[in-house]
Amino acid sequence: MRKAFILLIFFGKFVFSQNSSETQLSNLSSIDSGLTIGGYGEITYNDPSDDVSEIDIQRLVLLLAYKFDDRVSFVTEIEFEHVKEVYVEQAFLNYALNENLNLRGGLMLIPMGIVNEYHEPTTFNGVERPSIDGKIIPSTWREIGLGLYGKSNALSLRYQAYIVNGPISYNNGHKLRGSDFLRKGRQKGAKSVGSNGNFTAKIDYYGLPGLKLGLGYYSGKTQTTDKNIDGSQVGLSMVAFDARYVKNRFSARAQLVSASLSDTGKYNLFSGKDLGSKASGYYVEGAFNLLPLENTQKLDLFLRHEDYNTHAETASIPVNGSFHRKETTFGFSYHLANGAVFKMDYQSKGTVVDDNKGQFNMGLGVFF
Amino acid sequence: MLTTALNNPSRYIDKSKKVISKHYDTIDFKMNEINFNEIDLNISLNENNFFKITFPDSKKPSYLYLGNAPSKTETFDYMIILDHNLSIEKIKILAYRESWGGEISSNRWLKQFNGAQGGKKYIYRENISAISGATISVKSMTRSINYFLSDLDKLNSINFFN
Repeated sequence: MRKAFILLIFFGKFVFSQNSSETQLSNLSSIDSGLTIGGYGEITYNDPSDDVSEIDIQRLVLLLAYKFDDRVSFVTEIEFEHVKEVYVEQAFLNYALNENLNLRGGLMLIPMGIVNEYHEPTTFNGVERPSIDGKIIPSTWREIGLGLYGKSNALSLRYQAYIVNGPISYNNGHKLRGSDFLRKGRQKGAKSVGSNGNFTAKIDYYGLPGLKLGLGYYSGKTQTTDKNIDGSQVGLSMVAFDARYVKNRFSARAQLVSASLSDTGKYNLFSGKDLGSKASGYYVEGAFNLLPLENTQKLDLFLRHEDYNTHAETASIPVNGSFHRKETTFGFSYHLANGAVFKMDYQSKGTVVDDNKGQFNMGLGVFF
Repeated sequence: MLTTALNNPSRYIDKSKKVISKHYDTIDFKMNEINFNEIDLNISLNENNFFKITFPDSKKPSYLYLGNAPSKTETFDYMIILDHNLSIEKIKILAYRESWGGEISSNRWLKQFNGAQGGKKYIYRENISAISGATISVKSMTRSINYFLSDLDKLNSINFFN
């Protein structure tokens, strides 16, 4: 009996936070401070045509937000990846100077591309995130830094600008390589080496109905544990443009990324690696909701095509054709409720030199 | 019942007066209480959040509503100016607290509700445009305006404003 009672309290608490949008918040307005808890999770099944299939609790994330008072709050995102690895994805203090401008400091998401900022499984189509948001923009890309976050109601503009720590290229060994560009340089806020400040900024425009446009910029030198080592650092500069459109049952997305690295010739010479000097790519996606708008459920049928190259240009090393990838994903996202989704898709992944390989994916995602 | 009324509307009286004076380009107006005592309807409009704005000479009156709605983990406060026909003339977000979803404060997005009268129902994505990344606050504001218009409709059905 006692066990049942405890179980009821546990589930009661979850139902309470799941309905937070409706009931809890009318009460929250009378609280001057407090903790809110949310979360998201993904369980995935991947079946590549040429490899063993994998079932994984890809990630389980706890979102905690604490409001100290009307101006100051702390936001953190704690992630359990593949059941065993723990990471912190966000941990920042937000200080609202006024209605439209906030100061932020701590571990923050780098504002490049759509998915790096909006990566909850119910907010994007496809079991896996777009490949560009992994191989070129090293999602989930987060760095420790300080900066501003604000909006302009008159201009329908949101802006962010931060000085941050950045990806590391040398830590008793060269880290970055050709196939996934900056990904191996992610420090994730854990005892990060900070040798050079980097700068990042983004503007989002939402003045046209249903359309959201974003332009992000990143620049700086990669981090190194020893600046005296030859070719231990490269200069990075990245631009990402994104667009999202929603109207009635139709939605679409597009993203274009271009990144340049300087001094890769030297880097590759001293490391023996194959880091490209330019990486670029894009994706376009269209989706259509098969269910009527009045329905609380949604069944989005989608098609996405990605074309990206981490060897768009190289300095004094040969271009590796298999780094120019083309991937098409076709599937659906069935939103059972607002915040719970069942996804299924088939991907055809190829490169300009290799044959296409297929992969079937299924997944469950929640966000509350 | 989900209430869309502000818990503490008095602190917004001054701020709304500034918005009203800018909107009508005059400081010559009075904010009057409306007597809701004799009605017995299940609505969230009352003398603390719904006011009549009167002007000198023969200029027709306007109305002010102070509302509140939830965003993901916070609430936001807003005001509505209505014309003498009780059509929405202007909506302004007075306080948006959450880190995300503040795009609904955009003047352009809020203009979509202008002209609405009691009984009109907005449907998200159909006649109210979505804002990517701000879905919760967009839906919440749409719902809140719908509740408000439904309350107005109830008052109109008993000829409250005549």
